[in-house]
Amino acid sequence: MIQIKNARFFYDGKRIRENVDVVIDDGDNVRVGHDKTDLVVDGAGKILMPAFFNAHTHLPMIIMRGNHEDQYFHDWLAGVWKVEEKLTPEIVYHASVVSIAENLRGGVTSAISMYFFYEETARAVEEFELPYYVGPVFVDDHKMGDRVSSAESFFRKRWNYVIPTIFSHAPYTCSPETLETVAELKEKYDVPHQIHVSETREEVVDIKRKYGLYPAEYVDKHAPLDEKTTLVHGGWLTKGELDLIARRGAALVHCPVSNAKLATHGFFPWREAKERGIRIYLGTDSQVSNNTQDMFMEMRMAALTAKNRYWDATVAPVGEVLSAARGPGRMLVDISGLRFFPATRRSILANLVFNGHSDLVTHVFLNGQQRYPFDEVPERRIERSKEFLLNALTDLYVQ
Amino acid sequence: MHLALWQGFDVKAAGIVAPPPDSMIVQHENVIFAAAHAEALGIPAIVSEAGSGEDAEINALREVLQRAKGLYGVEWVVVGALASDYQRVRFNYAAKDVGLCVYTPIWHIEPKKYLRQLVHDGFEFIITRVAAEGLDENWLDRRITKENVDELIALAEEYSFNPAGEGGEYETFVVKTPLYELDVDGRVEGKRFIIEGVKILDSD
Repeated sequence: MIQIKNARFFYDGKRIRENVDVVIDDGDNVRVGHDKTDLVVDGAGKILMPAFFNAHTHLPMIIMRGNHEDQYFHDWLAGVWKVEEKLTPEIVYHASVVSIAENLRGGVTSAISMYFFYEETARAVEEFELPYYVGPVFVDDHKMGDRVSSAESFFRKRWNYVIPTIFSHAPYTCSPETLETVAELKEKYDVPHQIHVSETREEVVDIKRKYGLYPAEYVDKHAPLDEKTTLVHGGWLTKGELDLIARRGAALVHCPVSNAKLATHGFFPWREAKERGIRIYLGTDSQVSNNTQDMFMEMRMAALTAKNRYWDATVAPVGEVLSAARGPGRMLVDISGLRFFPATRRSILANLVFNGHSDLVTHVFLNGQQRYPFDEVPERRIERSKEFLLNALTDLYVQ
Repeated sequence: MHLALWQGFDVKAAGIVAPPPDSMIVQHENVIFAAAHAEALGIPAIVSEAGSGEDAEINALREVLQRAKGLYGVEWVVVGALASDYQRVRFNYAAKDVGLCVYTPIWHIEPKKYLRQLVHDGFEFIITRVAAEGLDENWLDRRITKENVDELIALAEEYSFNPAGEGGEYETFVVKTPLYELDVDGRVEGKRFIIEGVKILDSD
């Protein structure tokens, strides 16, 4: 249990209160008031607000940040795949540690991470004691039998924190048979499913020509969409696909910074999705296509691109983008600097979206415990992993 | 095309696909007179006639784009798709094959907002075909301006058709832009206004 003293603002996701003392209990419930707690944190000059959920990332790709720039999407992907051939489980573990640490210090308490050597990422997640969605990633490959048996072992294991999840890479890398395998495992183990869909024009044209279906229809045919399915990107979705996604109750993950950086030239259908009651989450995507995991940046970009593309400043309002980024737990954000002036009840949320950044997060709380600043043990773990990676990077790139 | 001009693109040519009457991709009505717009802007028009059916139309579109690329070094094609996924995706089929980027500057703009913005910016158009309940022959050859656009929008709301005619509820011919004006001769025939001649009145 944690006592926040004298928070300048307290935003619970619905209303804003000013200059209050707040208690966070072990079930993450918050209430205005006082109690005997293990920890007292000064909230002066800060806003206490919901922490973030990063709904799409590839945690270990942090090691490639800055090394694959200014390239066309498919050249970029080919370059990334080339480096990935050299990755080892150990590299993926340490990269996951550093990447989770970066997310956490930016207020992210939960994320969906799609990557291979997922057992290593899961190990890091368990050490950090965070509810992260991790699991096997399926693409067409000749070792499908091994892939299935590893996935089944992963799903059978008892995890304390990891939320086991199944991933299929994309319609253009997953045949009907691969998607059907994913669907069987999804149903058998009742796990969430995430897939990249309609990210580029090439994907839409190629899938439509090959199968006579748009990408979301193709996925639905072989791995039926449902409430536990998240479709990532969606910049080229048609309205017929949006109707289908709405009927199935599936959700969309919007990664506006990544889409802009890789010039996928889509148009994320924020308004059309909202009109159909489709849930929208925000994700940073990988650090090679962003290059941050800063959810403030993601909120800002989502709002700005929607307003500009729709010629309508009322689309993607502040409340909607905040809600699309909301995760479990709470965080304190320092708003005492000039960039938040004037920090009033009226202005504070817009200032967070359009003026905030992850370095302003001073504390992160989850399940009634402080998770950032780090205690000694995670701090040592992070330093050890950073040191390991700096050496490993030399082998990856200086050859 | 005007948006592309205003946004500083070097507009090289106008592509015109003359489709059969049942086209799902582009307008059929009076489309050949679209060349007058290219002439007013001082740019060449590239015309291709399409046969019936989706493949034939995409082939004609591909041919126009290929010629635009080959003759004028075009890199982008600007498409005025507002809400039709069918149209947007088919243009991208053809453009992908030819190696062109597609720019859809008005995509998903709320149709009433788009229509009001258009006439506010100085565009005027006549209605050349009516195909929706609520739109009778009296609308044919009627000039839509910022003075009467709300009448059309009110009708669209009353009869639940797309105010911008995106679903083919009505077809149009632009007669005035901020850069030039056209004088159009023609006759009403059933639910159509058949254009017989177009004269450029004023060109900057």
